[in-house]
Amino acid sequence: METIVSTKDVWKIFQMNGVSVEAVRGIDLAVTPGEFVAIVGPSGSGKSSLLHLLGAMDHPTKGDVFFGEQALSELNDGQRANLRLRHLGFVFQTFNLLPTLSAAGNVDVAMRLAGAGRADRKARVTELLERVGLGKRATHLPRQLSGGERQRIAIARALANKPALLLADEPTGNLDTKTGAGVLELVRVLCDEDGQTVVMVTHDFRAASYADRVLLMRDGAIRGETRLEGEQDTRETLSRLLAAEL
Amino acid sequence: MLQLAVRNLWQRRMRSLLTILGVAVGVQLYLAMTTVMASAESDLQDQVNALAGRVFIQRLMADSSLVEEFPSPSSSINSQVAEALLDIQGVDEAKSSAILYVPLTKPPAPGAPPPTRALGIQPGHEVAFLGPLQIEEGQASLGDSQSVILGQGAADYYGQRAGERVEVGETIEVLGQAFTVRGILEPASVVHEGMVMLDLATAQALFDRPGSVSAVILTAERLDDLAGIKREVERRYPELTAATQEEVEENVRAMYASVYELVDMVNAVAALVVFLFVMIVMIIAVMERRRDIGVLRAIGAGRWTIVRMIAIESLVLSVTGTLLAGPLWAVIRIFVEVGIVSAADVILSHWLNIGLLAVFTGLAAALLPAWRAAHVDPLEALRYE
Repeated sequence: METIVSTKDVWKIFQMNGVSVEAVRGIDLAVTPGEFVAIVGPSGSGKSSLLHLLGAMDHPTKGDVFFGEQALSELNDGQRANLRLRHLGFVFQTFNLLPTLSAAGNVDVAMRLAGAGRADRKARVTELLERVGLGKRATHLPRQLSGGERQRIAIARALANKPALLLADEPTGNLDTKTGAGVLELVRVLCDEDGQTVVMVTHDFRAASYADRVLLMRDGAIRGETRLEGEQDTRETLSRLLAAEL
Repeated sequence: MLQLAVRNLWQRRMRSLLTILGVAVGVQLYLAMTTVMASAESDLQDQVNALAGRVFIQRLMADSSLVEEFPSPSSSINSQVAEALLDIQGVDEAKSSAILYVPLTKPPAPGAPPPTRALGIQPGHEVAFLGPLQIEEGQASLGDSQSVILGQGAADYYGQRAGERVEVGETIEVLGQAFTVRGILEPASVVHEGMVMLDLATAQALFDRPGSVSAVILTAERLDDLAGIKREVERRYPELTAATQEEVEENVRAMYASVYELVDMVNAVAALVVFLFVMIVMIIAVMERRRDIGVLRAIGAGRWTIVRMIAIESLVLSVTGTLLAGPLWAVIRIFVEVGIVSAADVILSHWLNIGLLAVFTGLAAALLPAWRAAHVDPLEALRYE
């Protein structure tokens, strides 16, 4: 089966004040193209650590992460940066937009880093801002935008270089319920219409209910997995079940 | 990256502006020192050019290693010896003369020539000291024992009021004795600028130096005879020092060497201060923007890209400061007269050096902050506040 990203017995152990903390414990995971996977679990369950490993931002203590067939352990720092730039998109809980650049500038910067031409960049920025519903806010600085708008810009930036995999770390963590729902609907639409592969970590079961597949994580290991199908009301029902399971 | 770098600087515009001003001040210092050096070099060249084709004879102090200018106020030669020197075969007597050299004012700094000085010379032999220099106003010969020829600086000194200078035909007073100004020299080196040229016999009486001169200038009838005349002087009077134009130049350059070293040192300090200033500002900027740099690293910016961004910011600061120094220097020149060399000439002739120094300083100052920025862990971007 073709995979976008997979892990093989991957471990991440941190040394904190002389004490070993096993943040990720022997996880085997495979994400297929077009899939929307939510990794859900309480704080400290290791879900963000796993996301960092999937995003080539951290090195596993043991095991390996594969992007397609490529083992990330075989890549040097520059190659990992290039992988993040061209094949991965990141959406962070705190948006992490560059404060000195406008909304369009934040989307543009990712393409500049990738060496895209001016005309291509301009067209893509316009397209993405329209896509996330912020075509008229292109010249606004991040501080002039609401939280939901900032997260939409962050999503547009993450999609700028047409990544194979979108990684989202608590994307609704800093948003109110209604705004968060809008952001999640946008991610859902990207999956449904563009076939975008998404891995999202969240502690919010309502957010997880937008995914195709939900992995339950606790104490650094995956404790369960549920595939979700159907309409929103079904998702909400399932999310309650998942909550009970945890 | 240029856009991002400029926006980062604009975001902290007060700091950027102060940094640019700091760089501009550093470059001002460099320009001032360079002007002083260029002025000294130009003056030196004028002096050397005015000495061509002659042998300069003095009796220097016992310490022969002492480098002295010509003419030296401490030198003293018996008048009879001076006459004998003028009779040496091959000497063009009309273009040679004994001279008496006496400072009239104190030097502005230790080792520097006094601003005005009396120069007694045999009437009709003025060319021995003036060489190729021309008279701007009046005549190049003294005419009588109560006439003087002035350098431009001396003419200014004897002006009635500040900013005025004495004119040909007017009277000046030296040690209580009145003299009529017969000629004023064209702009020349510092040695000739402060000159008050007067009749040798009058000078000997005025300064109470009967039977004594400071030096003798011998002009050869033929250039080929110059070395022979020098040898003859040394053979007959080993206690005297005979020097050709080249040797005088060597001595004068040796005198200026310490000035050059000082100027080089001040320039190096100016460059170092600019370097440290820009580096500190850039380190602070990197520390403040660790999160932004982490975000850039997280979304795929390579280390080299981050290095480039920091280097561009540093270069913008140093080069803008340098460019600002040009107009600033012009403004300063309105209020401060620096040397005899035009500031524009200095800026043009040293522009390449200053530009290269600005680029080098900017890049060097970026090294440490860029290295720190390039090693920001992208995971820092994901650490929640």
